[in-house]
Amino acid sequence: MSLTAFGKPSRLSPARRSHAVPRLRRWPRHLWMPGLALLVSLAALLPLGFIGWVAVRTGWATASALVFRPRVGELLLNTAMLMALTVPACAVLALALAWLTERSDLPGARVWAWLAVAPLAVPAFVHGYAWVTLIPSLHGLFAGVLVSVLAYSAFLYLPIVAALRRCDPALEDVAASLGLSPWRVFRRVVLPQLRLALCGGSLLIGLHLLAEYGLFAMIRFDTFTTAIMDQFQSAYNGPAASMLGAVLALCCLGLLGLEAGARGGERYARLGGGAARPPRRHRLGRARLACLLLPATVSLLALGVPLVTLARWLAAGGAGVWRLPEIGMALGQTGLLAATGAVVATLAAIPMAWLSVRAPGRLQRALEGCNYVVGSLPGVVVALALVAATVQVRALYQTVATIVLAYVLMFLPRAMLSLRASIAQAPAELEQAATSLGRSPARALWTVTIRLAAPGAAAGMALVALGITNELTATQMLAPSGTQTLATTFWAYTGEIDYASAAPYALLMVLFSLPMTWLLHAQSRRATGR
Amino acid sequence: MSFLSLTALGKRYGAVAALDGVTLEVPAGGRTAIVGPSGSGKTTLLRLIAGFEAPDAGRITLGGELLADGPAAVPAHRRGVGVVMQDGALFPHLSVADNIGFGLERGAARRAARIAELMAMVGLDAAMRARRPDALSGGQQQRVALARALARQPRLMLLDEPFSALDTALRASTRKAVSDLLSGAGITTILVTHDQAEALSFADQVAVMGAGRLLQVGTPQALYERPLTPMVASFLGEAIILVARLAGGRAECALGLIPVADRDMDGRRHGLARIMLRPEQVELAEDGVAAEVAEVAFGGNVCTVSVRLCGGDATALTLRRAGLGVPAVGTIVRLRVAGAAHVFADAP
Repeated sequence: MSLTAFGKPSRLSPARRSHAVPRLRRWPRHLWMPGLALLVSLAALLPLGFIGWVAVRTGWATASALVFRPRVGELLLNTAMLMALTVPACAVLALALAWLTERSDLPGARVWAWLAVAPLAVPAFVHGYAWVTLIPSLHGLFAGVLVSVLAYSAFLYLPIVAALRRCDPALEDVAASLGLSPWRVFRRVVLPQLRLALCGGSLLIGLHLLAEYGLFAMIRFDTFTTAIMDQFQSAYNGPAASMLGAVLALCCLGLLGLEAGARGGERYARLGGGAARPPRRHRLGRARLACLLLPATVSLLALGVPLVTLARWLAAGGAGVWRLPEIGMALGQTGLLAATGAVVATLAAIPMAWLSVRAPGRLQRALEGCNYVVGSLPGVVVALALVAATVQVRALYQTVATIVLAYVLMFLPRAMLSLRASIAQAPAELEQAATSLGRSPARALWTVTIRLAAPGAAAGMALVALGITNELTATQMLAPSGTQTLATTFWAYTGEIDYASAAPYALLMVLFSLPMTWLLHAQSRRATGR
Repeated sequence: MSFLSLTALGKRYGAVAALDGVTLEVPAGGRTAIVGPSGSGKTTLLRLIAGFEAPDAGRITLGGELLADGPAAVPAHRRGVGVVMQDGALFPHLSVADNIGFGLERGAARRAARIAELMAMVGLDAAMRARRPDALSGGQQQRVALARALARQPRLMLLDEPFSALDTALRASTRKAVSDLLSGAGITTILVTHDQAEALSFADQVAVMGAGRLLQVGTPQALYERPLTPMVASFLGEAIILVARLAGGRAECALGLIPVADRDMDGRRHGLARIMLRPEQVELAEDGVAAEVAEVAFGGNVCTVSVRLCGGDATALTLRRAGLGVPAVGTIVRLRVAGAAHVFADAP
């Protein structure tokens, strides 16, 4: 083709040409995505709105009378003591276990690594049940600390292991060549690199300590959550419970702020290209046997005690505790609630996850922040907010819709994290290619991105479903009367001191949680592709 | 006088012998380069000297002090050996000043002054004190790593391919700066590299490694001119290796009669041998052996000219020529050899 062919004046008249071009659109194509994300975030803000509303409705005089009283001080002290003892103990234990399984020549390190994570498969209130039925006199702060450390230290072990695997051993070599003894290398080079893992894991444990009801009720140790449940059961929606809920929510927000401050802005990722050499394992030498005692003791207490207790109660109960119609009913209801909650939470997470990958910005970060803050609030606070909201709309009070909404608010971050990671792996170019092939943006999103993100979405759904299966407080407060999930039936039997009848439900919850625990364990080890 | 001695060092990883009977003497204040292809064991050797790992067999002594005798070894932090790693291995969570001062006692009186002194020594601007390592260029990161290693006034400095992450221009200038700095301070230095040009220009002693063994040790010039084996010859630069018949102090080969370097003629060797010429020894001339230009690769100031000898077995040679006046492909040129050929000890 000659150049002049391009230079020829168009035969189309200016007017006709303007019709030939599709009408320009002023708005970005995916405006409905931020819109949906905004909607979900507003819904997520409900519990925070509730706190404000309670404070306003109650009035300053009543509110201050309810907040500034010895009982609240006592609960605050209990909570503070519990945190101050449990979190550092978990950190030391997790650090020791992680170092032994990752950086030393401990015999059977791989098995001990799995055993260190496995206690996560046992819901905290089942840990409590196991210990209380083993030693009925066990109660108070130290019992609470003991059982919490056993139940929760894996939340710190997992990120520490992942961080240890990412550490570049060249830094440790250099520090040694600069005259630092192994202990000082650990303190000045390894430990700072574990800071994010320590902060993140500690936050997670702190939030669990604030939110947990069953464990501390079993062990007879008063926290905000147990006090709120007591109040709620004696007078639902009373201002006393609501104000305690508000203080509890403030504790959570304080914890989030504390963690954000503690993690700092340092960079910890390895500088430079190439792959780091695998870390060397330290020789334990004669200390080997002594070192074996630590993981062995922890496994015995954190896994042995629950499993032996369960086995004992199952044996004591015999065939009689396997009331199949009742168990089947609980399984069915749990499955239905878990599946519905998981699907709704994942659908609700799509707009936010998509935005955070494809159009990150200030608005998106703010909306995402809302969801995480609400996701970190205890179930009891979310439930109180929904009770307060639904008593205004009687038709919604104690319905499946309300409890599913509560689950979505509580577990949305789990769905969002998995979804975001997998959407990030579906490149925007594929979506663009689909639109260039004539698909509308919405269809392109659905047929390309969502299709590719499906495995991540499924993993997220499984995490949400597991959370719902083991959820106790919100379910007790919000589910339609007559609802029997595994957790609530287990709880009802332990309330009647019928520990044998409770055992099958505990066993089922443990079995359901095992695959997910294995997945988390595998993920922490895969952090470096090894 | 030998400052660092390695005696019969051996190290295995499972079935693989990473080091096999390595013996090396490093003089005090000298600069030694250890070169070899990937996987030849040079980094393992460096890690044994640094104390990051212990040998399975052999001894390491530094300044008369025994550092390792088989698996019994002094740990790295008690050796006083400085190390600069390939990509610096700076602590990402510490500032430049804290990186440099890492090995100094935290309460030391002159700590800040010493850090400033070290930064000036390696040519880092004082304004960079508070910067984070990720805000530095590759060359600056290496300077910080060097200052950090110098801070403790090490007896021995180990450099593990510290220039390989830098671009070509920066590489030469950084290498020169480091070399001058270490010589000035009188610190014995060992450089590990897979870049022969770097080894030859940096060191006053070069050790070539292959498959866990030391193949040859000597001055850069001696190794370049008189390699023991064709493998060492080609590792240290391009080499033309030909079969020749030796007689009367001369070698008869495809390039004609070439004088043989005197020292290779101990015992007046006769008969078949392999000889080596460096490409720069072969010149285009008015007269000499005829060859046809087969290929020319233009490379700016230096071009690569591949020629095939006319007649005989059409031996192919690769020559280096200045960019100006490179003959065209197909031209018949005449080749003349300058200087003498090196004769390998082994028979062809």
